Amino acid sequence: MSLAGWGLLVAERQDQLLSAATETAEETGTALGAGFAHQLDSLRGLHELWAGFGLRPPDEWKANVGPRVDQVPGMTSVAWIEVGNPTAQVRVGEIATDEDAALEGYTAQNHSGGPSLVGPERGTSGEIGYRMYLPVETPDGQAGVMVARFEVAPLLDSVLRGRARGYALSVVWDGEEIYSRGMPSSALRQKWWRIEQTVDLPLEGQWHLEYRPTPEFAAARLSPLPYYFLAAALLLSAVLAVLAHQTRVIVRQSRFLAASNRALESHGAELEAKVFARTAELEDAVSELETFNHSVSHDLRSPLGAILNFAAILEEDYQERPLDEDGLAILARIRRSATRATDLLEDLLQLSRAGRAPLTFESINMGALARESFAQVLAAQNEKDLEFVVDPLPEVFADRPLIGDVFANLFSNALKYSRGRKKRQIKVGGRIEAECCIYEVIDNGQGFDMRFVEKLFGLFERLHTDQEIEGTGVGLAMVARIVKRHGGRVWADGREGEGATFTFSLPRRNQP
Amino acid sequence: MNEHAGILLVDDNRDEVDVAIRALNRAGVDVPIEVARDGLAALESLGLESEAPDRKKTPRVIFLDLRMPRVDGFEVLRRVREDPLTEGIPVVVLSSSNRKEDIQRSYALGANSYLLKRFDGDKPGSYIVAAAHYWLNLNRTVQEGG
Repeated sequence: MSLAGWGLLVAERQDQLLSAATETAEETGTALGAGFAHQLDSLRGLHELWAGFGLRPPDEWKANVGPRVDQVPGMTSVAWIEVGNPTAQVRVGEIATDEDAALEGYTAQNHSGGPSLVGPERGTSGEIGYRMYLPVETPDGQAGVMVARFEVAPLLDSVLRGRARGYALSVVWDGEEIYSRGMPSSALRQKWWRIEQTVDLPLEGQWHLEYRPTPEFAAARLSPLPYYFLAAALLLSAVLAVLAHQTRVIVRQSRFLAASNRALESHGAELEAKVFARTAELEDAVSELETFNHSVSHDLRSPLGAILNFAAILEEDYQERPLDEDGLAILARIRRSATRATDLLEDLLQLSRAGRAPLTFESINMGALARESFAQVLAAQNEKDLEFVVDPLPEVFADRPLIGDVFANLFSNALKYSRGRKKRQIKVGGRIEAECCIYEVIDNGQGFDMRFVEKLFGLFERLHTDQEIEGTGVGLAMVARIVKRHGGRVWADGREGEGATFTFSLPRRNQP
Repeated sequence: MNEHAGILLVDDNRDEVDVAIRALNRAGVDVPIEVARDGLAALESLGLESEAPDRKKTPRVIFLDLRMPRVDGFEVLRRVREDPLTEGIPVVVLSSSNRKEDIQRSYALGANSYLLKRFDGDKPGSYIVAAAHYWLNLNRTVQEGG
């Protein structure tokens, strides 16, 4: 496409230039013809002048005719000759070295023809010129001829003045270059750039004129636009090719991208859900941490503060007397507070472990685990009058040590809150409900007021004062945390004086 | 005019209660001191929990812990300010929490003062004595003046 465009453009440029050059040549040819005509007219004028004066002495002739000769471009000399009588002549200027012979030759020719040109010939200084013959009648009625010598260059110079600018011109006459002007553009010597022209000379003979553009003209007229166009077109083609390729690639890629986007969207939704879940987890963790910090600062300060206070009291009251019963009681309280602080720290460490340690899932025989945990709790506390029942329990996939802790804490709780009561019973039950395994620890202890059920599982939250039931308020918080980490739930049910039921659920198909 | 019980000390921590009572006694605070072991006991003592309240026990000042089993200090404070018969009793919160939200919430619910529990071991309970003097004497001055 680009090559065709370039070709068209070049052809058009070529046509334009050719027509311009042809026009120039025509104009030049016309001017040249006019130049010859002017020369002939000048010659005729001189003949009339000569006829009017008659045969005057050469000096007078020269004085009158000389200035007229100078006015005719290219004319270097002129003479009047009687045909057949070469001696009867008047001349101005030198015709040529072989002038006489030429005149003789002329006289031998048929005189009846019109004006004629003879040449090319070289003048005395080597300049190329021609002779123009004009048959005339002498004042005496004799056949005569006006012969003038012209140089080629002045005629052509005057003809070409202001014409055919931009063209180098070469004029050939009988195979000889008689005139040349300017240097043709060597780079543009193509045939289409040469305009050839033939100008008929008076009577016979022809001048061949050849026009070629000069480099300056070529540069100005024959602008490199086509080349720019070609370059631009080639570049455009290349760009288009690249674009086409790119488009195909982009189309392919966009198809791929669309597919990827769809995949990404679903991944994104998944990711968003994960981020959401993770954020919720983090928020949970942060709020748990805040509660934890607050609780630690509050609950740990109490026993430590008590130690400080009672130590100060001992110091104040027993500086000068031995410890009495009251003093020993104060000392006991210091010990108890220290123990409590230690227990708290121990429980908190355990809680922290329960919250952070990675879960190791395994299949758990829950009945066996419940019995195991109960035995451990019982070993630490000397209990009497106690019935422990374990119903068949569904197996579950979970972290065995942590679920063991759940049981241990619930049993420890049940034991604490049933202490002192008769026919104590702790029962473990279980069932499968939908996607969950549900386990219950039921005691017939003192139970609790359902109004405060929400506080049960909070860290350091207690429904009883230390004096009523000992405890750090960590146990149930730990139970809640472990169950939550397994994706389960924990809740409690009870009535004051009628026992309590702690229930937790674990997903059946738990995955790590 | 109701007969004042004196000071109602609401705290579940027996150690702290004992230290406070000892300090108040040593400082010669001669008004009766009643102790409520938790929020529920405090409400009962103030007659805000039972059907037939015994208004005689209306104290001249309440020292109130915030974190307690069952009913906490905030709930007690809210209920005290809600009831026309107890709304005028000065309540001094005694807490080991220096959390901004606890302090703001206490004042928002109508606490007259918020004291941070101190365990400096120098003069155990001295800050409670100072607070007791202030609120008991202020009350007396207002009554005498009025």
